[in-house]
Amino acid sequence: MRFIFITDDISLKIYCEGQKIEIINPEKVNTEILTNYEAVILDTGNIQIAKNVLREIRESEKEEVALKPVLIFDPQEMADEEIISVSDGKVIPGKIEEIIPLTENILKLYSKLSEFKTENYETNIMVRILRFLYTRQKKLSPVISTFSKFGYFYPIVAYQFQEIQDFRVYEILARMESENLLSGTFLDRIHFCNKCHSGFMNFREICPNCRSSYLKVEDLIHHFPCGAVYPQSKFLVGEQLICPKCNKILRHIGMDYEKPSSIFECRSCGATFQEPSVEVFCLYCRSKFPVEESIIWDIKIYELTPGGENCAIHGLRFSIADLLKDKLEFVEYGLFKKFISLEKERKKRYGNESSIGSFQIKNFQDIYILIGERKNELAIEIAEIIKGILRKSDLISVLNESTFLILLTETPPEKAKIALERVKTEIDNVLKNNLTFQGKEFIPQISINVAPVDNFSLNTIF
Amino acid sequence: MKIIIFFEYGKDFFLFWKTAHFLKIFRFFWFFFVFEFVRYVVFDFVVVVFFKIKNYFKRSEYEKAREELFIKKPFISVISPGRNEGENILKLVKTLHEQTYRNFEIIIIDDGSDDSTPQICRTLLKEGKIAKYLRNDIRGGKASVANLGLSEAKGDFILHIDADTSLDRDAIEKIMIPFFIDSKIGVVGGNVKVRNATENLCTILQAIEYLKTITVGRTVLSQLNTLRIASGAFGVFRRDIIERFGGWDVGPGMDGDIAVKIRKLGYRVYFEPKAVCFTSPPKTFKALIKQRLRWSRSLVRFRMRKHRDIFFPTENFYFSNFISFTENIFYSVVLDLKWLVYITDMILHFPSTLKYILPANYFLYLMSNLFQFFIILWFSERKKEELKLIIYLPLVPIYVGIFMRLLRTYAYFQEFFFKTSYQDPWNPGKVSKKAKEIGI
Repeated sequence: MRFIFITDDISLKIYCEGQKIEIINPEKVNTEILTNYEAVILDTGNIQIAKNVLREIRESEKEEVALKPVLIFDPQEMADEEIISVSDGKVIPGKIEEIIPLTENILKLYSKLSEFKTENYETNIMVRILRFLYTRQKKLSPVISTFSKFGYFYPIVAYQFQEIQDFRVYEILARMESENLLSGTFLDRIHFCNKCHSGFMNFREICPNCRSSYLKVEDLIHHFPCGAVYPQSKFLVGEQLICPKCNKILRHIGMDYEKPSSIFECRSCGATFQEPSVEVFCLYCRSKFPVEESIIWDIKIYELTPGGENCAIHGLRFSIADLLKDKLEFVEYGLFKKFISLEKERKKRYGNESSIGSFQIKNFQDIYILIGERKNELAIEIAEIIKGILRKSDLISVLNESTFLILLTETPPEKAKIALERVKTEIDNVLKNNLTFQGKEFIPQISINVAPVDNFSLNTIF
Repeated sequence: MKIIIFFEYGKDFFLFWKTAHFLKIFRFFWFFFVFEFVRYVVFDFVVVVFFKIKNYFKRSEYEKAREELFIKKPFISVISPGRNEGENILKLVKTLHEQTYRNFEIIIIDDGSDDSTPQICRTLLKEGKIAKYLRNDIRGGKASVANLGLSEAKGDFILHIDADTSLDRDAIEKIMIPFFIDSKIGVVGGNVKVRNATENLCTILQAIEYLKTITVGRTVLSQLNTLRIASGAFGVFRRDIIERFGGWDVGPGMDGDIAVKIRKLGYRVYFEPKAVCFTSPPKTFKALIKQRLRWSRSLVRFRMRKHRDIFFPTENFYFSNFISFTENIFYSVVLDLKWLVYITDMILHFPSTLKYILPANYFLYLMSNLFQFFIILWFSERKKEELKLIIYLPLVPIYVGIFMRLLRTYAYFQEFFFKTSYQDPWNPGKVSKKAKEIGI
């Protein structure tokens, strides 16, 4: 087996009987060189360099390189959770032969993968994640990192995006779960900023009058003998509690007095109140909003489902979007978002009511198994339905192989919903009629959602 | 008709005492004048006046000790053993969190409760209101849970408090100050008062009794350095001392027993009337009788049996301990018997004048109680509330002078001849059996 040892320390030498190990400086590493070796041994003596090399490997366009076994040489235990989660184990000096079975196993599973190509950006990422998990036979767990603005961080998924701090990491994983490619186990619930998706937020009590968080909270005291009720500070004289109404000393809680509740006083405007508002302040983008407007997200540990394993081996060969792309005019997602911004502006200025809708066929993998050779006929029928119900002024964009976003201009949400319900019902019927065989009924799982255009985000739409 | 008879009797009564010679009066009331008046009126008054004067002149020393307390801020472990005390524990913890002195941990030790106590305590623990909740699934008796609390405590001082007790806001501060005045103080007992004082006649009488025997009685004994009890309801111990003899021995009467052990080591047992706590006393006379029989038996078991070495000139002999025990046994046991002698004496020698002697006796006791009550009020931080109890004073001579005296005498008799305390269900049977075997 041929190994390449990536290190900037020329004094380091590792040796394993019967195996060829070549040393290379991290600066000289490139995709072409890596294809010549079965596995990589990476020195973590310099953490940042090691991370850069790992990222370069895992984000490589060449699948062969991206899924290559990477073992870390970490005698000083420097590797952090991020490095450990995207690498495949540790090389122990003197026991290098122990990594051979592990490497062989990854390579054996890799050899089972069939060639797969797609132009769809998200599909590519999904297959990459599935294949990484399949060849490693491991779960996808998040690491906690203060360097990630989300707090929780899935390095192998984040590496697939240009920008490492991309919220689509979470969306893509949620979609893979909804499409039954991954199954998730709940780990934690986190609040994200509704503007920048940061998980670093300060939840604070604020004055309902002036919205200042400079508050003082005090116990209220009820003095039994005279019925006086004031904040504790009005009773405090040195260490003693003396009633401001009757001048008696309060000695014993439960006998002379009680603390029935507490009261807030705003130190900015002087307002007093018992129930402060709660506000979120994003420490990342500095926006402020009510706590109920934050995005609540479940962080999960994911593992491959049998369907996900199948897709890892064979690729996501079926895509409703691919099927329909010649029959319907799709707008590229980036351009689609620009249209939405324009529509939002139009609404502000002229008060037009436009809506945004989503349309998702969840069990599209089942369709792939059943459809056989009639896929063209089915595509035409579906395209006709969509064309018949939607107008030419409505725009359709593809989010991934089974999910579409539709901008319905000059249409209030309730009307948009009626239109999408019709699309759903008719496609439902077409799929049922075409895919039910030998008495085994096919039940399509289609979901639609509608929101006003000014309220658009992927969270409001799903 | 009845009014006329009463009026006639009144005339005779006053005429009888008006013409009575001083020596004759002394003959009729020798018991009162020789023992009770001297000990509980004159003596108490003198000591209390002395105490007040001393406090006045030493007030700067007291302030200095208070400052030292807040500078050194010793860590206190508040241990509260109990069984089926869930609701009371809530009240107790609430008052602890109101304290002016705050450097303490709260440890609740549950002696096999079978009510909601575990749930209540676990909630308090979760809310961070107590530091520890320890539980014996099998009941082991109060001493065992107190010792478990002691072993888990981290404080330099151990504050033992009954679960049915609650504290005034400054109680911990006040009870700690004496330790910074006199380094020979080993334990300070707090001033225990009755919480539900006006609930019924039973609690009213106990409220007055507590004021007499604890607030004033223990102040006097403490000043004379003859106090031999630090209330288990509210007492603070120096940890280094209490650990020297391994904590509490099997009760009942644990409070008195441990205080005596501290005295035997040469340390003072001190009473601080300003450190006030409130407790819930028995609400029925039946429960009261049970409680007092238990308390009184412990006098024979501990003072006359377990710690009888105090009377002998051993190497740990202290004259103050000797005096303390002698006074205790004399005024509790001997005088109770003497009182029976006095009553018999009156019945045998003055049967025809009993109708004048008994009411006059009652009147003398009432007057001495009234005098004592004013001393109590002089001490009290709740003068107005406690003044209300004055209307019940006419019942006190009967409650203290007859009811309690007979109860005590009966308990001494039981313990002296039958060691009844070892059958008391207050302790689990297995514990009492073992205690009896080894004679503690």
